[in-house]
Amino acid sequence: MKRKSLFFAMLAVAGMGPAVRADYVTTFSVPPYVLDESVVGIDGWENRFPAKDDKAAYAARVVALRWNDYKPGLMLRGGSLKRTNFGAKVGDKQKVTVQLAVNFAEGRSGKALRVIFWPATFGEIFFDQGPGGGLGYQGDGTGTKGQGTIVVPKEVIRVNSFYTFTVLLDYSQQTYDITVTGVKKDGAPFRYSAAGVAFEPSKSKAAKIDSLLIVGTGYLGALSVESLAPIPAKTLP
Amino acid sequence: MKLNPMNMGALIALAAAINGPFAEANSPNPKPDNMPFTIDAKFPGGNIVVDKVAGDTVHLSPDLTGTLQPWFYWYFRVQGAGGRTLTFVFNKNYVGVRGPGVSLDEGLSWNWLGADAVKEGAFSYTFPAGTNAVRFSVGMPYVHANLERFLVKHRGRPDLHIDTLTKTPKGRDVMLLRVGNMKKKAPYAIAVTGRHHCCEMMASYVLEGVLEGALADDAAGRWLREHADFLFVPFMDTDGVEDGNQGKNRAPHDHNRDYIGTPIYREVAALKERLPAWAAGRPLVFLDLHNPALKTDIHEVVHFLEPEARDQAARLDKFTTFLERNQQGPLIYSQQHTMRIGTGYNSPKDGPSSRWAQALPNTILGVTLETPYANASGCEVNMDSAKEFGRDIAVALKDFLRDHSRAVVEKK
Repeated sequence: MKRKSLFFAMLAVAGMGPAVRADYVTTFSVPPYVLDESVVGIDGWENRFPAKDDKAAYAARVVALRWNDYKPGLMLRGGSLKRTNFGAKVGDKQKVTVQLAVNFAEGRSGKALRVIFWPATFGEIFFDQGPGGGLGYQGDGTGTKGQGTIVVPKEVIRVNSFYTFTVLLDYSQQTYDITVTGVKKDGAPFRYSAAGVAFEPSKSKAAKIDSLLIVGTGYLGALSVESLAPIPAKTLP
Repeated sequence: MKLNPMNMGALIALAAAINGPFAEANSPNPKPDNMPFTIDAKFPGGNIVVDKVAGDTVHLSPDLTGTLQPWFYWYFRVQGAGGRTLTFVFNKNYVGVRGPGVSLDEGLSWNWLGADAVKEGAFSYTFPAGTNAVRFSVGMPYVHANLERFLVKHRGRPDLHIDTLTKTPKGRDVMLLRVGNMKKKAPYAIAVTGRHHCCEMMASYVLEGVLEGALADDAAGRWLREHADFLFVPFMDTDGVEDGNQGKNRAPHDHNRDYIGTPIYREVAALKERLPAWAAGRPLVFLDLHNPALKTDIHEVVHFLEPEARDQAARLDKFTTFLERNQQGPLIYSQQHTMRIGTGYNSPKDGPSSRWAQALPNTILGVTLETPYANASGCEVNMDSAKEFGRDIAVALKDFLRDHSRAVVEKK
């Protein structure tokens, strides 16, 4: 976190401010999203695989979430979605925000929900229902295919309650900061953060988010990818 | 040695005789671990037999009065044990998979103590200092007062009518609730019953959830009240619920085996007369809510019992498709868990209420739902999650009836 503070301090000295530009933002609440309708075919969402049965029609739908004061959310029932085109990134930093909730899906013993940003700069955000599992993220900069970092253990998770993952990507440094907030099963607030985590190694240095895959069962309340670009202060409104 | 749990004066005397706590309490400087404590079941739903008290270890078992075979319902209160750790020992078959339910507020709210706290039917509990009373149960008891607390929020609503089905043998009112537009008949009738087996308290939270869904000021609730009239009988064995009976396998047969021939229970007789008259030939959905056995296998899975009639079985599949598709609660229904007729314990025998309802000429779906006591395919069953499942059922009823009404229109 120190590094980020230093970054903003330097901007201030240089007479520049950090600007946020929404490359893609949704809360699944406004058109073209339609309540009780599938997201497939709208706003860039596609089935990752061809639909096999009638369940595909309702695998990924916008619903009014009763346990969230009837706010809309993307309800996944074993869906496998893909979205590309996150706009043109500006600058070397991006912020990704994902709000997700889970319950304990029937018959699942491994990763019941995966939110994968491609190329896999910070791996993925997941819910692992296996032994020792929970909510976590994958990328730790080592490139090893481990279990990832469990942030909220299964026994602590409050089902059907949103956890917000905020990831600040620094492409110049090839690192990211991650923060997870929410409420624990017992109602106590939850917060986790890690700073300066290295991107997963790849042949070419990751420079932007190209696509997003969502696989599994759970709920998404909000999703955004935003550029954090240093822009001269005089251009700010 | 067994004591009648209704005679708790004797029980307290027993505890005193074995522990000598009263004498200790009267000494100038009583030690916390020697302070007297009492165990009783003198409250609605209470049930316990104290077999033995040895120091800080209490051996207990359920009171099976009136029951044909061993069952596992128990519910007791400990008072005066603040700061002390006691161990309670049951037959291991009488403690569920998440341990006992524990309430620190006289039964208003409950939490599971946890599986780790139980070993071979025994669990220890350290009573918080200053705590006056702690209640323990095999589940999370739900009695008439629970429903009253829910109804307080809705009393006075024009779409809720509180009525009485009949009087119990002990003179209690058997509550009957109607939800819908009282000024006109809706095209569909939905009847929901609970506690034919009075010990099956977790089903009451599901029923409350369905009731809440029927009364909800949301799209599903409004649709349901416009298109369906609801009839709820939350406590078919009201005396058993309040008196803390097992109810399951009650001698000579229990309330849910009384739907054959002339009923021996007046509540059953009253429902058999009232429900068809109320439905008045309208397409009827009948839902009877239960809990299965305490643990293992199918008893830790939410499941419907498939009706024998093929048309109703197909409609159950339709209903559970909607449920599986739209459910938002923590408890997950999976259609593959529907217990098909002729499998498991779902045999085509007469006697259960749902079998009786299925045979009514206007019934489009009559079905029994079994919701586990504590664990549903890995999800915790508790007051909230069971209620949420009831809400999911209400929404699925809306989807099912809307689909049914469209199909009827298309057929015409």
